[in-house]
Amino acid sequence: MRVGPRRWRFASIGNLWRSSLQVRTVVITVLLTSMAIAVFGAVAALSISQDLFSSRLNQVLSVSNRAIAEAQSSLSASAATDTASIQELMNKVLSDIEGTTTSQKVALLRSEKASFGYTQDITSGGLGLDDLPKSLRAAVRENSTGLWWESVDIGGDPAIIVGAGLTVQVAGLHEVYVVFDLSGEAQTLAYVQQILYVGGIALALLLSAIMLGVVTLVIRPVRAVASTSRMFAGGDLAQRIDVRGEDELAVLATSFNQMAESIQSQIIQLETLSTMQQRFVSDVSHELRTPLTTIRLASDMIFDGREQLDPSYKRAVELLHNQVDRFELLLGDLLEISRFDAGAATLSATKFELKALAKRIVSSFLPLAAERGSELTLRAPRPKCLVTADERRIERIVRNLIANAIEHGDGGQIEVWIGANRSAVSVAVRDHGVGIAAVDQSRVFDRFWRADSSRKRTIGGTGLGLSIAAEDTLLHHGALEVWSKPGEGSCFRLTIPRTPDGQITTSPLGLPPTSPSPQTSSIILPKTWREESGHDK
Amino acid sequence: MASKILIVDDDNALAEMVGLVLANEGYEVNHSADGISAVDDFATHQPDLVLLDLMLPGMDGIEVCRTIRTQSFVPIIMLTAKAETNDVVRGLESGADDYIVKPFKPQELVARVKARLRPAPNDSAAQSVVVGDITIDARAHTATRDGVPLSLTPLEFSLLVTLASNPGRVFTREALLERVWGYQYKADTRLVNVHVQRLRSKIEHNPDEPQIVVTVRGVGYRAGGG
Amino acid sequence: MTSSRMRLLRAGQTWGGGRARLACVLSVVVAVTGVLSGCASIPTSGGPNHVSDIDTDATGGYIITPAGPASGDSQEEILRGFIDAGTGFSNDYAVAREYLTSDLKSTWDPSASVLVYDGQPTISIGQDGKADVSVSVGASIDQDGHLTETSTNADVKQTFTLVQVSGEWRIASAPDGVAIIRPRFSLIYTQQTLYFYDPDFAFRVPDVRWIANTPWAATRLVQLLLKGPSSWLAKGTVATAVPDGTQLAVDTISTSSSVTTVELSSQALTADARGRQLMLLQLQATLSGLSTVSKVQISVNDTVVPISDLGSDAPITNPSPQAARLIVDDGESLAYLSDDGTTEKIAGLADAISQLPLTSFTIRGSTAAGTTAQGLWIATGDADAPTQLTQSSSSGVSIDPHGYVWAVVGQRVKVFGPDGSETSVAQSWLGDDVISAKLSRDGTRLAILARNGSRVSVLVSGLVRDKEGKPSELVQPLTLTTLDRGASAIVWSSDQDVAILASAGNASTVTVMTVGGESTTKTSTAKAIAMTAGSGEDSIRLLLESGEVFAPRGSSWLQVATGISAIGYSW
Repeated sequence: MRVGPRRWRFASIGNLWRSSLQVRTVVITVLLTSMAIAVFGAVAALSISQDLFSSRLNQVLSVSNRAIAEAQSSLSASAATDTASIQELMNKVLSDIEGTTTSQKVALLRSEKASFGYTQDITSGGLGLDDLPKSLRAAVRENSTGLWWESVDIGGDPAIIVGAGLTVQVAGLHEVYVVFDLSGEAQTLAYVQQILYVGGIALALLLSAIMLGVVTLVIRPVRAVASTSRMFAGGDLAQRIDVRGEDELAVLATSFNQMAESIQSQIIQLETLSTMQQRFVSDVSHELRTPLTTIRLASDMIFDGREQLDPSYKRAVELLHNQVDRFELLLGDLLEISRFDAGAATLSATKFELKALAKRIVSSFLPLAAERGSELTLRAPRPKCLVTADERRIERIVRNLIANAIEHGDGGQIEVWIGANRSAVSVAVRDHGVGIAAVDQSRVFDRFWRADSSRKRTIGGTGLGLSIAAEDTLLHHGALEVWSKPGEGSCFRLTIPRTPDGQITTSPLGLPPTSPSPQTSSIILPKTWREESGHDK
Repeated sequence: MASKILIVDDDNALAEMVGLVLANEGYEVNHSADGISAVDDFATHQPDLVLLDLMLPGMDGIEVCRTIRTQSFVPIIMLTAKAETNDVVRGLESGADDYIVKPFKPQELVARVKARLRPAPNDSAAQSVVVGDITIDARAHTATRDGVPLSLTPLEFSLLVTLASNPGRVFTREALLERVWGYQYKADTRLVNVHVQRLRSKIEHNPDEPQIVVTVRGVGYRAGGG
Repeated sequence: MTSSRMRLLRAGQTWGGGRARLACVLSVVVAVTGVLSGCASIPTSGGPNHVSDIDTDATGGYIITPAGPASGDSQEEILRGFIDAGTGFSNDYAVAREYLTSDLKSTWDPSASVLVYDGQPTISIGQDGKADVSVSVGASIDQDGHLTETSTNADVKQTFTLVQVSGEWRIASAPDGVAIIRPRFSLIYTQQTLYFYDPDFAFRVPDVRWIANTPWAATRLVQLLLKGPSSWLAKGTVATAVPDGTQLAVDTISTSSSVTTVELSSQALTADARGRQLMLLQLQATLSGLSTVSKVQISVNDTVVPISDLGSDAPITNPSPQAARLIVDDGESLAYLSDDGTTEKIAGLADAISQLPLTSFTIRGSTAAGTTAQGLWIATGDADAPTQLTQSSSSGVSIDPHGYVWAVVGQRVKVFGPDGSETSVAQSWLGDDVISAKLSRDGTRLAILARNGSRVSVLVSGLVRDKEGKPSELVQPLTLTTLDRGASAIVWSSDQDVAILASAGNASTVTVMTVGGESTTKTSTAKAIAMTAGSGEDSIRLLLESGEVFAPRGSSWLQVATGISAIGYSW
C-alpha cells in the first residue's frame, strides 16, 4: 500500500518540524518578522495614502475656493444682459477657472430651466456630463453655497470633483464643477506601496537569511553536542565534545565530558567486576568440583560397601552419601544462580517438540508420583507443539514445577497442561494440594524461600529451584505465573514465545487451565508406566 | 590380564580415589601428576586407557592428548569440571574419545571405562567394505586408500565401519552413540559431531565437501557413495 | 587531546579571518545607508535647469451640451432650442437632431455651413407650421472650413417647417448647416492651417481653415488636406506632395503614446523617397496646430512607412523669424536697426540705393530695390549705382525668391526681371486702381489693396509661374474684406497674415488680417506715412512724417527711432 505523495510530503514536513530546532526557530522568526513587517508596511501605506489624499484635498479646496470666488465676483460685477455678452462672460469665467485651478476638466452647467436660452452646458477637456456623479450634482443643487467635493474615478484614475453654485445675473443659478486629477497621488502611493512591498519582502528575506545564519551559528555547537550524546548513548563511550570558548555551550560541553568520563569509568569498573565475577564463578566451579569428585567417589565407594560396616558407621555413611548428593545439587544450583547474576547465562536454542519433552519428563516422574500417591496426568493438544528454545532449561523448569507439585500436592491430582498458540507455548502444572497464601504468592520465586518452614523438604530440593526456573524463563523472555487457592491447590504456568525473539500476545492456557478445550485431549499414560516403580536410571 | 589405566590429574586425592574405585573393579592404575611426566609415564606403562584431566600444570591436557595420539590409538577419556565450554570440543578434537564431567559417580566412571575397553562391535557380515575409494578390512581394523593405510582411532574406525557397512542408511547421532560408543543413555551428541569432523579431516579429499561421510540435515549421517 | 586542540586552533584562525571580513562588510553597509538616508529629502538648491519646449496650446477642447426639447415646448422654443443646439456636435449633433422629425433626422447635414451670428435670432411663426428665422451673420464658414468675415453684419433668413409629432412640435424641414452665436463659436471652433508647397517645394504655403474643436479634428484636417488647396490657390499656385487620389484608409486617426498614425490608402506609396518626406512634413505641419498631436507617422495597410526626417533640406516656413531685419534710412545711409536701438551700417548692396531719396525699399539676397517719387530703382550684385526701372511714382516694392522685382507703378502691378526688363503678368480681373500690393515671402501670393468704388478691397491673389519660375498669371483672388477709403498700404506680417495701414485724420489704423481668418485692429495716435513688417505682428513698424519710427507695444505704439526717412526689411 503506497502512501500518497501529498501525505508523504506532509508527514516529512511534520518530521522536519519536529526534529530540527533550526527549522523551527527560523520558520517562527521569519513568520513573526514577516507579520511585523507586513503590519508596519500596511500601516505605513495607509497613513501615507491618507496624508497624500488629505494634503491634496486641502490644496484642491483652497485653489477651488479662490477660483470660484473670483469667478463669482466677476459674474456678479458684470453688466451683461444679452445672450452674446453673457456667453462671452461665461467663456472668460471658464477660462479663468481653468487657469487658476490648472485643471483641464471643468464643467459649467445650467441649473434651472428658467435661464433657457442664455447659457448652455459647457465642459472642457473631454469631460462628459456622465462623469459627474449624480449625488454631487444633487448636493450642489440643493445647497449652492459653499464647496462640495466628491472622490470619483474618471477613466481609471482617481480624481476629486469640486462643485459649487454660481449665480449668473439674468441667466440664473449655474453649477461649476472642477475635476482635479489625483493620478499623480495615486502613482506616488502605488510607487510607495511598491517600495514597501519590495522592501518588505527583501527585508523579510534578508531577515530570514540572517536568522538562518545566526541560528546555524548557534545550532552547530548544539548539534555537535547532540550527535556526540547520541553516539555516547549508542555505546561509543569514548565520545567527547570539543569545548570552545567560555559560554553556556562550553559549560554544557565540559559538564557532558565530565559526566561521560564518570559513566565510562563506572561502566569499565562494572565490566571489570562482571568479568572478574564470571572468572570467579568458573574458577570456583573448577576448584570445587575436583575435591567434590574425590568426596563423591570416596563416599560412594564406602556407601557401596556399607553392609560390612558397623551399624553406626553404616548409618554415618548413608548420611554422608545423602549429603554429598545434596551438596552436589546445591553446588550446581548455586553456580547456576551465580551465572545468572553475573549475566553469563546464555541461551542455546534448538527446535524441539514440547509434547515429546513433556511426555518424557512426566514419564520419569511417574514412579515418584506414584510413591506419593499422586496421580500424574499430561493434558496436551493433538497438534505438534514446536518451539525454538533452550531444551535443557525448559526441561529443568518443568521438572522443578512437577517436583514441587508432587512435594506439595498432598497426594492429589497433578495435571500437566500443554498449550500452544501462534505466538507462544505454555506448560502449566496444577496440583490440588495445600496451596499458597495470597501474600506469599509473589515471594514464592525468592531464593531459599519456603512457605511453611515447618514442612520438610522431602524430595530434596535446594530452595533455589523456582528462582532458577524464573531466571530461565526470563532468559527466554517468557513468563512464569502462579495461581493458588489455599486448600484447593496451586497452578504454575510457564509461557514462552515460540521463537527466542518472538513476542507473546496471550498465553495459550488459562490460569488455572480449565477443563480441556476442544483442542486438548487428555493423554493418560498407560497404566504400565504408572505402576512401574523403582525403574531406576 | 588386567587392563592398565593411566590417570593424569594434578589433584592427588582425586587421582588416588579414582585409583581405588578402578582398582576395586580390577584395573591396574597408574598416576601422573602433570603433563610432562604423563607423556613419559605413558611410554613407560603403555596403559590400555588414559583418564586425562584437562587442567594440568606444565603441559596442557590438550597438548598431552595430542602427544599421546601421535604415538597410539589408546582410548582417552577427558576429565573436565566445565561441560559447556569449548574446552570439551577442543579436547575431543585433539584426540579424546569421550569426556566425563566432574563430579561423577564411580558407576559412571566405571561404565565409561568399560565401554571404551570393550572390543569394538563387529557390525558387518562382510570382511571388507568399500566406501568411496577406501577399502575397510573390518577384521584387521584397517582402512586403506590406494593401498595406503589411514591412521584412525578405534572410535573413528568404528564410526566409519558402521556407516560404510550400511550404505545409504541414515544414522541419528543417538543411534551412533549407542552403536559406536555403546552409550544407551542420552549422552552428549557433540561426541558424534566432533568425531565425524575428525574422521572427515582424515579421510575426505575435501573435508568441507564430504563425499564419504555425508550429513543428512536434521537427522544424522550416512555413508556417501563417493 | 592534541588533535582536538589543533582543531580548536584552526577553527579559531578561520573564525578570526571571517570576523574581520564581516566587520568590513558591515561598516561599508552602514556608511552607504547613512549617505543614502541623507539624500532622502526634497531638494532646495541646485542651479537653473533648462527645458526646451513650452507647450503653447494646453487649453481648449470645450464641449457644449445643449438642452434637448422639453415636453410642451412651443414652436418658437423648439426653433430657438434647435438653433442653440448647433453648438452641440457630440454624437453627430444628436441633441439638435432631437428637435427634428425622424425623417429629417437622417437627412439633415449640419456640416454644410456654419453661420456665426450676433444678437438673437428673430423668429416669426407663420401659417401651416412655417417659420422664418433671421440671424445677423458676421462670418460664415463653408463646408471646407473657409471663413468669410463680413465687415458689417448681414441678415440671413432661413425657413423652417414644424409639425406636431405625438403632441410635440418638431421640425420637419430645415436648411443644412448650423448657426452659432459668436461667443460660443470662438469657444468651440479653432483656426487651423493646411500646408501646401510652392511649385519648387522650397517653401510651405499656408491655407487657413476653420474646424470645430472636436475629438476628431485631426481626421477632418487630414481629409481637407487631401481634398486639396482652396480654389484661389488651386490653379497652379501651390503644389502638394500627397499623390493624386490618396485617401484616408480609415476614417479615424488615432494617437497612442503621443504618436499619431495617419492611415492612408496605397496611392501614398507611389511617392518617391523625397516625395514621402515632403508628404510627412505636410501632415506634420498641418496637424501640429492640434494640441493632441506631437509626432506623426504614416501607415499604409497597417504597416508604418518609415520616412526619414528632411532635416535642413526642409522647405522653410515663410517667413522665418531670424532672417528679416529692419533697415532704416536716415537720409544718408541704410543701417540695420536692432531691437535695442543700436544701428549697424549695411555695406555693399545697400550703398547702391542709399543715395536715393527712398520712400520704400527692400533688400533680398543679392537684389536691392527701392522706390522714390521719381520711380523704381534696383541694384543687383556688386553694382555701385542703382538702375532706374520706371519713371513714374511707385510704391509697394517686393522681391520674390526668383529675383523678380514687384512694384505698384501707376496704379498697376508691374514685374521686372533681375536684368531689369519688364515681365508681363496676366491680371485681367485687376483694373488700374491698385493702391498697394505686396508679394508674400514665398512668392506665391500677392496681397492687393484696390479701390472699389468708394471703398477699398483687400485681395489676395495666387500667382502662377511658368516652368522657369517666371511669373505668368495672377489668379482670381480671394476677397478678404472691404475697408474705408483711408487704406494706403498693405504688407505681409507673416506667411498667412496681412497688415493694412489706413489713415484718417491724424491717426492711423493698422488692421492685421489672417488670410481666411479673423482680423484685429490697432490704432496709433499719429498719422503714419509708411509701414513695413518682418515676421509676426511685433515686427510691424510705422514711419511718421516726423521721421519717428513706432513699434507696437501691447495695444499702443512705442517710438523706437527718430530721423528716419524710410523703413524696410531685408530678407
